[in-house]
Amino acid sequence: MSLAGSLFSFRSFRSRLIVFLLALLVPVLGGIFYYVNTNNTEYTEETINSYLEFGADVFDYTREQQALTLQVITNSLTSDFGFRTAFAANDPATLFDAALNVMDRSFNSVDMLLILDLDGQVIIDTETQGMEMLEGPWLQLLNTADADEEGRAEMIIAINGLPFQVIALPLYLPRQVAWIVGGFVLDQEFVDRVKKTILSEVSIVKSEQVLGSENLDLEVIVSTLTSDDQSALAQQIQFDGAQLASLQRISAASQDYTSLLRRLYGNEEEPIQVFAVIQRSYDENSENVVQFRSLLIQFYLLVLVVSLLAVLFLARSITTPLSKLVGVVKQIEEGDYDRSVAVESNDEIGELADSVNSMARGLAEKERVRDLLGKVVSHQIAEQLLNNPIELGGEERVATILFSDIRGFTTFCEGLPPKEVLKALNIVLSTISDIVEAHQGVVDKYNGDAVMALFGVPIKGTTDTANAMSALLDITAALEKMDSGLSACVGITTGIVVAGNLGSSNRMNYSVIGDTVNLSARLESLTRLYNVSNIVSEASRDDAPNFAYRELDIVCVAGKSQAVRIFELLGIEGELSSSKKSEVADFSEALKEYRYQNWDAAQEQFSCLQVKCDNTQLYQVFLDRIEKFRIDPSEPNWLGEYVFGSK
Amino acid sequence: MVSAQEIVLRLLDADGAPVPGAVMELLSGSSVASTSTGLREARIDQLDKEFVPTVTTIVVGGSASFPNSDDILHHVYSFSGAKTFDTPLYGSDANSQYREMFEVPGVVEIGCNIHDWMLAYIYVGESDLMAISDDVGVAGLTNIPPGQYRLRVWHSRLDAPQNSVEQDIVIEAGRTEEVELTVELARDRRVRRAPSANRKRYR
Repeated sequence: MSLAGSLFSFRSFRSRLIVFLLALLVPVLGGIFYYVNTNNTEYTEETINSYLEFGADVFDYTREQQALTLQVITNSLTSDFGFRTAFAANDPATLFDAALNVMDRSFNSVDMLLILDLDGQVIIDTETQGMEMLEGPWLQLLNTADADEEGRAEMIIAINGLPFQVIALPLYLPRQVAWIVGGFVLDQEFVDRVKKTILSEVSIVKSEQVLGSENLDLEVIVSTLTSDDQSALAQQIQFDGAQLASLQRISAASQDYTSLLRRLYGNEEEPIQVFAVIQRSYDENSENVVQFRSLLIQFYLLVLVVSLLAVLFLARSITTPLSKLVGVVKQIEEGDYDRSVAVESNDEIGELADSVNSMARGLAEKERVRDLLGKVVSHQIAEQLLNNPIELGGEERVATILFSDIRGFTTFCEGLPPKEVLKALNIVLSTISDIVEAHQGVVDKYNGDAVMALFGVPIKGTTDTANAMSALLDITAALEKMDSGLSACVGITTGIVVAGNLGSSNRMNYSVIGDTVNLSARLESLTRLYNVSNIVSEASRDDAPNFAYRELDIVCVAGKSQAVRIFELLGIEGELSSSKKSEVADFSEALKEYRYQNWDAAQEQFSCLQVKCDNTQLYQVFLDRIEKFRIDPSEPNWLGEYVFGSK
Repeated sequence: MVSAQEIVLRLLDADGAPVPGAVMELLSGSSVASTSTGLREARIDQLDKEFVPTVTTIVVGGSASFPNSDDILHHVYSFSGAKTFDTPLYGSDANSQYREMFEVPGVVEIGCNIHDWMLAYIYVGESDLMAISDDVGVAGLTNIPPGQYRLRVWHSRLDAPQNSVEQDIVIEAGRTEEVELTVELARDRRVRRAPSANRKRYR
C-alpha cells in the first residue's frame, strides 16, 4: 500500500467520516473566516487611518488657528502706538518690558517675541537664546518673510528644546523699520486641547542626531500619553522616509496604538526634526472586529460540534449494525453457523443482515452435508467433491494403491456374536483408517475386513508412495501390538489409474480403477502364499527408495500377461538387524541359483535358509517349485517368473 | 537781475521707467536764504485717508501744517530722527492753526496712527534749491545763480545710503543743464491700503 494510502486508511468508518467532514468543513469555514477577518481588519485600519488623518488635520487646524491669533496680536502690536513709541525710544530694556507686557495681555496666545532690525540683528528676544545675529531656521524664516509680498512667514522652530509656532511680520513706523517675530509654544496645554477635540492621543516628538553618530536621540517633548506609553513611543517610532508616511503600530504597556506622524520642523537632512504624533488605541478601534471574530469563532465551533454530532449519529446508525454483522460473520467464519443478526432497518444494512442470515443458514446446511460426506467418504474426497463440480468421468493419474486385509479374522470371529464381531472389525478398520489418513492417504472403500486406500489422489503429494510404505509399516505394527492374533497383509502398487466419479448421475462414488488397482489386490492375496505381511510392486519400491526391501519373486498374476517383480518391505533402510540382513542376502543368492535353474544349489540354499530362519513357508514355496521343475522342466527362455493360473 | 540758468533732471529707474516723487536738491557752500514761502510753510493735507502730497520739501527752519479734509479723525506722527512728533487726534479744520517746525535737515516719515497705510515724506532741505520729480520723472529749477553745486537726489526707495545719491555739478550763466540719472530702486515695504478700507467706513 502506498504511503498516502496507509496514511488515509482508517480502520473505522466513523473516523473516516469525521476526517471527511473536517476536510470538507474546515477549509470552507477557514476560508470564510479569513475573508471576513481580512476585510474587517482592513476596514478597521481604514477607519483608524481616517480618524488619525482627521486628528492630524485638527492638530494642524488648531495650530493654524492659534497661529492666526498670534498673527493678529503680533500684527496689532506692530501698529501699537505705545509699542511704536517704545521702539522709537531705541532702548532695548524698555522694548523688552513692552514685549513682556504684550505677552501678558495675550492670554497665552503669545509665548515669545523676537525683534530684529532689517539687517537681521537681534534687538530683543524674550526667550534669551543668546543670538546676536540670526542663524539657522531663524534666517530661513526671515528670508521667507522678506520674499513674501506681505513680509509674512510662519514656521515651527525648536527653541530651548520646545517647539514654537512662530510668525514673522514687519514692524512699520510707518515704513518697515524692523521684524517682529511672535511665537507660541506647542506645549502640554496645546496637546491637551487638541486631544479634547480629536479624542486621540497627541505627542510632539523631537529627533536629534547624536553628534558624530548615525543614531537618533528621540525625545517626547509633550504628550497626552502616560509616561510609560511615552517611553514606548520614543523607543518604537520610526522616522525613516517610508515609515514617516505610513501608519505605525506602537505596542505600549497599556495597549497598542496606531500612530500617524506629521512633520512639524526640520527636513530629513537636518539634525533636529520635530514631529507631531497622533495616536489612537488600536484595541479600542478593533474592539468590534475582535467581538465579531469571537462571535464567528463561536458560531464555527457550534457548526463543528453539531456536524460532528450528526456525523457520529450517522456513523453510529451504520457502524452499530455493521459491528453486529462483523461479529456474527466472524463467528460464522469460526464455524458457528447458528448465529443470526437482528437488524431492524429496511436500508442496505438491513438487506445485508438478511443476506448474512441466509448465508449463515446456507453455510450451516453445507456444513451438515460436508460432515455427513466426510463420514461416508474420506475427508479429502469429500473436499474434492464439495469444491469441484461433480460430474461423471475421471482423469488419468499416477497413484499408489494400498490393499490391506486382516489375516486370522475368520478364526477370531468364531464363537463371537455378530455385534461383537462388528465392534472388533470397526476398531481394526478405524485403526487402519486413522493410520492411512495420518499418512495423507485416503480410504477409498471397505470391503469386509479389507481396506483399499489411495495415495496421490485426489491430492498429489511429493512422497505419496513413501507415505504408503510408512502406513504399511504402521498398520503391521499396530495390528501386532493389538495382540489379538490378527495380522495385516498388505499389497501396494504404484502406477497409472483412472480417478474420478464413478456411478450414475444420481449416485456416484469417487474412486480409482485400472490395472494398478487390480494388481494391488492380487499382491495382497499373494502374501498368504509367500507367508509375508506385505508385497509391493517394483514401481512402488522404485518410488520409495528409503526403505529396505527384498525381492521375493517374478510373477505373472491372473489376467496379466506381463511378469512383475515383487518385493517385501522389510522396514526402514539401515534399521534391519544383522541376522535379517544375512537372511536377505542368502535368500537373494538362493533366488539367483533358482533363476539360473541350478536346482541343486538352489535347493540346498533354500533348505539351509529353511533351517536357519522362521519363514519356512516361503522357502518351501521355492523348494516345491524346484521339485516341480525337476519333473517338468520350464521353457527354454524361462527367466524365473512364476505364472499363477487363477485369482 | 534776471538770469536764465536752469537745471532739468530726468530720473529713470533700472527698467528705464520714469521715477516720480524724487527730490532734487542743489547744495552750495553758502546757504542762500529762500524767498519762496512755499518752502517755508508747507501744507500736508489728509484727504480720503491719504496724505496729499506724499512728498513735500521744506527748507530748514520751515514749518508744515497738517489740516484734515476728511470727516474722520487722524493722528499724525513721526519717529524719524530728523523730527519726532505726533499730533493728538483731530478732526476737520480743528488743526488748521497747528504747525510743526523742522529745524534739522533730513527726511521725516509721517504716518497716521489710525490708518497704517497713510505715509508721506517731508524732505527738510539745507538749501532752497529743491524740486520734486513729476509723473514723467522730471524735476526742474530755474533762475539758479551760476556756480559750483552738489546735486543730491533722494527717493524713498532709492537703493543707497540715506536713500540718496550725490554728484558735483557746475551751473553756467545762461545755460540749461540737463542731467539724466538712472537709479536702482529698492522694493517698497509698507502697509498697503486694503481695497475694503473705503467701503467699510462708518457714515
